[in-house]
Amino acid sequence: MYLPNLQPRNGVGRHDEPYYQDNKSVALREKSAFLTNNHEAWLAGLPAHALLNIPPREQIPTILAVGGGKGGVGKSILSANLAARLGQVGFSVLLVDLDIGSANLHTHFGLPVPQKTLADYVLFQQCTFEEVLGQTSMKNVYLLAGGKDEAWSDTTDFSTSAFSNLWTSLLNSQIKQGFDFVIIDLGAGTHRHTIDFFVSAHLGIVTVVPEPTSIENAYSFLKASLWRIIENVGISSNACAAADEVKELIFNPYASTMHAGSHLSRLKSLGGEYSDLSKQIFKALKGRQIGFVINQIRSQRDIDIGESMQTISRSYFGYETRFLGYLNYDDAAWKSLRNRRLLVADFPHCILSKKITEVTSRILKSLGYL
Amino acid sequence: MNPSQNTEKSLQDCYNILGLPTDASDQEIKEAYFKLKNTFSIGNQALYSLADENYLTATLRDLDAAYKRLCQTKKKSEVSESFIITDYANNDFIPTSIAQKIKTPLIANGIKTKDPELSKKMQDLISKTEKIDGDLFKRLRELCQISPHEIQENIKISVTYIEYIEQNRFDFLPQPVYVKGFVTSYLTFLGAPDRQRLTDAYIGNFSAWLNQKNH
Ligand SMILES: Nc1ncnc2c1ncn2[C@@H]1O[C@H](COP(=O)(O)OP(=O)(O)O)[C@@H](O)[C@H]1O
Ligand SMILES: [Mg+2]
Repeated sequence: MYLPNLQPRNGVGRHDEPYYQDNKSVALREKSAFLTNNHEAWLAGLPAHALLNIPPREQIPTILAVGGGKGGVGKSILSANLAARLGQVGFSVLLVDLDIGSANLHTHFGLPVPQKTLADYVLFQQCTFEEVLGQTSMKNVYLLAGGKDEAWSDTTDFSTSAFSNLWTSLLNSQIKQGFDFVIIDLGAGTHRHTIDFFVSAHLGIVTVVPEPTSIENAYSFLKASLWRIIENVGISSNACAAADEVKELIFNPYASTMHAGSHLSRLKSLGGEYSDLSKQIFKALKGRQIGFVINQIRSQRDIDIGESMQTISRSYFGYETRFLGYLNYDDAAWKSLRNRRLLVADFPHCILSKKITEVTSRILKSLGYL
Repeated sequence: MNPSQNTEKSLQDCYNILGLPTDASDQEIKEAYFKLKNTFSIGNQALYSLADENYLTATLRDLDAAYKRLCQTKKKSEVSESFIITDYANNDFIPTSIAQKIKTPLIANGIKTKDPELSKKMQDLISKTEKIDGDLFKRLRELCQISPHEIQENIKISVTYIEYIEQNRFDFLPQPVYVKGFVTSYLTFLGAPDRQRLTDAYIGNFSAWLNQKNH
């Protein structure tokens, strides 16, 4: 595969590889039910701009987006360590720091603030996609670092179009750079670009901590995503006006006679005039997966919250949901950050590292790799 | 349209509602029902900011209908159906009547305590038993010749919970704080001696199990 011409800096964050290594990725990829069956449905819900020039399905990487609406819930810890785990078993992984304004994924790997960042590529267009890719200390893991946070502040609304080059490059990164997986670390909030990348992923991972604020934000995030999927389906099937009406019916129950019930029950009851559109919407919902990870758990009850949220979101919004597991509260999280080393490399035997491995294997399972 | 208005449901729908394949076993059906019922109870934290009363009521009603239908099809015993709670005004899975009892533990004398001979037999059984667990409770109950149903009638704890307590099925029980209330009421109803110690020991086991499970 393509190797970016960047050296790890002064050995900072360089780790010995304590793990086993096996090159299963090619065999695993061929088995993926997800990539072979649901590709069309996945396309139905992509952001409209991304629908142009979509490469055939064997030629795009599997895209995971880690979101959840709230800051400090562990999106970056999960993204970075998940990438390392996938790299370990032989997948080539690109990690993208899209937490614009507070990008810090490089710090999770013990890397200094990078010279070239996403801003140089997306905002200033001063360099190519390949020039921003950096190596990390972990095998098979490459980082598209964020940074230069101040640069974004002039761009008040990160519109979708600003990111369309990035999106195209990500889709092409299987053919051009040989990446099997793209993991996108989304920031907090429900900004347009955040939701765009979330709904465009094969698997959107919602990270929550067992607190009402986090639970609330996760649901707002899922509502915003449903909104965007309906909008996308409208654009891609040339039915924008109808999609707007559907959004009104589903998100503003007082606009109709359907006061009660969930978004899903309102979607299901859409009448004849919207039947084509609603078919497309359901197809799009089936074509992507939403997984839940509950972080910083301290008791069985906390785990139950994650599992319940998975069930509830399926029943309330109609998403294809998965419970991807839980991560214990563990001091190793901040200790490894202080040591400037990646968690799974610094404390490979701590409970948190073990749980990250479990989450990784559930992710592979839900995507049809295992 | 409310999902619950659809009264006639096919068997397939019922399995779908419980999220099960059509070849699910009786036990799987029961467990799925139980879990979903807890998930959509208004007290569940995971519903925070989403709990719409109509939606929850409709969902619970669908669950009950699906479960009932499957029970009848599979000719299940009445016991399985007995824990369907249809008090939708308070659609918390733990009915208010029980919740209140938990807050103010039932102090009433057990119905059998007045029988000194039985009291002594229970004392003997307890001192002979090394491990304090649900099995001991079950044997105490049998000594008193009280059925789980009788307990359900009197202290309003569902037969299912009683069975789970007796079988030490901690994975199906609610939080220890609720179980503590259940066990206290249960032992009080039997009029068992040494109730405080027995309850503490049981909750101790439960907590240890929880801790182990989380690490
Ligand atoms: N499982 C955990 N145990 C202990 N601390 C954690 C855990 N997960 C996250 N943290 C702490 O929370 C902080 C925020 O995590 P981070 O991954 O940066 O969140 P986000 O990217 O969602 O803002 C970390 O610095 C870490 O110290
Ligand atoms: Mg972050």
